[in-house]
Amino acid sequence: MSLNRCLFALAFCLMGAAGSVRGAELSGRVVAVNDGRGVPGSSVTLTYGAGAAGPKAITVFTGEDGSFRFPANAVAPTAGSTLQASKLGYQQVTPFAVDGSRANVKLALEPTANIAASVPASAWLANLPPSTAKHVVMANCADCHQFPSPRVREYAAKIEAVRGGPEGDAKALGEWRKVVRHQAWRTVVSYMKSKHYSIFPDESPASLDSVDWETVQNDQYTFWNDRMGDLIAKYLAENFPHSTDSMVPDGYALGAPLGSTAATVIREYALPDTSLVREAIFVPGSSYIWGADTYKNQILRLDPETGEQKWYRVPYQGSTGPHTIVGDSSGLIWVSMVDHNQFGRFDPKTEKWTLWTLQPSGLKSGNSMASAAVVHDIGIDSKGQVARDGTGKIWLTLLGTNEMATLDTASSDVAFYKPTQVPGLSPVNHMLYSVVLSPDRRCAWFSQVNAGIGCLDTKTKKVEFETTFAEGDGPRRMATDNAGNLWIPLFGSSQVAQYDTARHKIVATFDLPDRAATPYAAAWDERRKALWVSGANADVIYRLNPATGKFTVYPLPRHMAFIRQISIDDKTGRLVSAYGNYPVGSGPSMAVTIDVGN
Amino acid sequence: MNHNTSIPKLLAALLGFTVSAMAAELDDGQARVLFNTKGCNGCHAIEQMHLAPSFRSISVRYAGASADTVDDLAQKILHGGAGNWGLVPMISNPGVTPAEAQAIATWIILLGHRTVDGGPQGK
Repeated sequence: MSLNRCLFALAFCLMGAAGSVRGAELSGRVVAVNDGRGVPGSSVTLTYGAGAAGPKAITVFTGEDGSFRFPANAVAPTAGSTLQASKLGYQQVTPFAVDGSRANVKLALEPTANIAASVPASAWLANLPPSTAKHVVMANCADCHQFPSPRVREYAAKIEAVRGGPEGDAKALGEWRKVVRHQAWRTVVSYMKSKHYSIFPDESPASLDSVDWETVQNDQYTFWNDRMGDLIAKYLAENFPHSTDSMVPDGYALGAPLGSTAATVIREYALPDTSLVREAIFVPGSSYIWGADTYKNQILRLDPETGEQKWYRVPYQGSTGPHTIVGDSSGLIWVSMVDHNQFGRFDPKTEKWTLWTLQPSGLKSGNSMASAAVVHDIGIDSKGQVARDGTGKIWLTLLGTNEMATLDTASSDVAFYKPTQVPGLSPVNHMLYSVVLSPDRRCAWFSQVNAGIGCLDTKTKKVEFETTFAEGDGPRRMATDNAGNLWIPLFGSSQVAQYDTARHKIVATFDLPDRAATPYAAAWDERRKALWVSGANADVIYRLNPATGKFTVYPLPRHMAFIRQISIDDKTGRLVSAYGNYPVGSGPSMAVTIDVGN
Repeated sequence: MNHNTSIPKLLAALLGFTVSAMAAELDDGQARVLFNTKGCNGCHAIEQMHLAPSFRSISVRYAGASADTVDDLAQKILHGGAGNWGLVPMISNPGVTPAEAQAIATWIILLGHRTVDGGPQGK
């Protein structure tokens, strides 16, 4: 046997032995099949077969020459693992199976004439011009899940497939078709009112089975009122693409330079399909990722090294639980519950819960959305951690009643306050959402998706510095930096507003690279002096450089990657989030971490 | 809520359906749970027209149905329809299994003239 053959045999044996170990070599190059040149900026996703500890998939990106390298501490590919290269406008020529270490892998991409299967949901609406109606659509239809999701697109195709119009008269048929579209989308809007309730499990008092139909369809108890619903139906009837089967290569673009580099690593952790972990965070002092499972009324402890999952049931009799999860500087975890007006704290060291009830007066009787406080967001600081005002109280938003609440955790005293009330909107219609405490703790800045923002003075308890946004803009989960700026993601108009808290005015508004990306949340990154913005509808995370006003984009390696809150690890700068399409089962059930690479 | 399983079973036998064991065993309580967990009650109720025809109306239209009709209805539950009851098509239901669709279709067709206490959404 020649020396080369001996070396080859030795290498082959080493490859086999490396199947279940870390530190394996996995590298190669992505090339264009037509000219053999390297493809820069392509993602390469290693999806593990069964039996691998840690993430289900790891994604890296190619450098300028098309080369890629997986991190040295990654688990070597197990049997059944695959490599998938992806770049918008290209498709991989053949599937690539990988088992064990491999160097010099070559993945071939070819240009594709139809990018419909690879674009995010936002692509179908991104190029429609901004308008109030479009923004109302985005602010409401992408509220719980990506829009248009594959199921929405499938339904739109059914609308076009309806038959029975006047034959032989093209003009009359065209008018009839408009009526069909309008009626169908109006029905969808009404169906989504039902969905407010059908997301609750059978045992919930707010389950659709337990609520009368008049209540279900009452626009005072839903996130949008009937006027907005009519706007939505009309806009979709007139503007939704009649076919989403194909899209030409220049039909959609990321719209900004890639932020991801050859040093960027994305890890995705598979969670049970029966869970709905919509938010995942880092907590100071903990090496775990923590998540809130809205559907199963429990929180998740995930070991990012091994992938081990441990679940902690929230100890109350509600049927559906944690919506928002936030850590604090001492390592405690705080969660708000959708049901039963509950708010809780979990101590990871003792694994003990403390629960409080926040029940404002004036709750309506019955099981409507207005009969519960729906404890929602928790006041945070510039690190995204739980903040306390000057008297040590925690601030919360109550979505069900459009109220703010304070909680004194030492005495358990609770108090309620009125933020902005907009005539014509019911309490739920306001969609009171996030609360951010200013660095001086004077302002509890709140956002109302269907109204604007304001400062509720933590001493006087009066609303100051209200700023109303245009209808549909949809201010959602805000962030504050340490330079006096409030960063406001505008979910409906897909922009980010910069509010100067000293001058009490918006000083800049930044258009997202994709105007249907629906930024659910902004997160301030003090280490990088950057703002992270979730592109919930576009399968991306954006990074805004406030100094230049420019975005870069970090594509996520999965469809329906409905990113909401972004948490930043104090120690490492790593980002963590989760894919949170509502209801359960409508999208991938995964937590995700991102090593930015710089 | 009526959990009596004998009526659907008896009717199935009388009509000579060849239905799965699960379909034959679907009582009103099970049906109600399925309607809720699978989201059927987002559009349909037993007696009243909500966003889509009531189960009663569907039952009347398909009275005297054959086993083929059960299959057809089950297919519609799974894959949706294209406006057979008007201009508005029915959504597909990928979360419903074929066995569940068969069971629901059978339950609807066997609804006949009997009464069902279906809770707030059953009216």
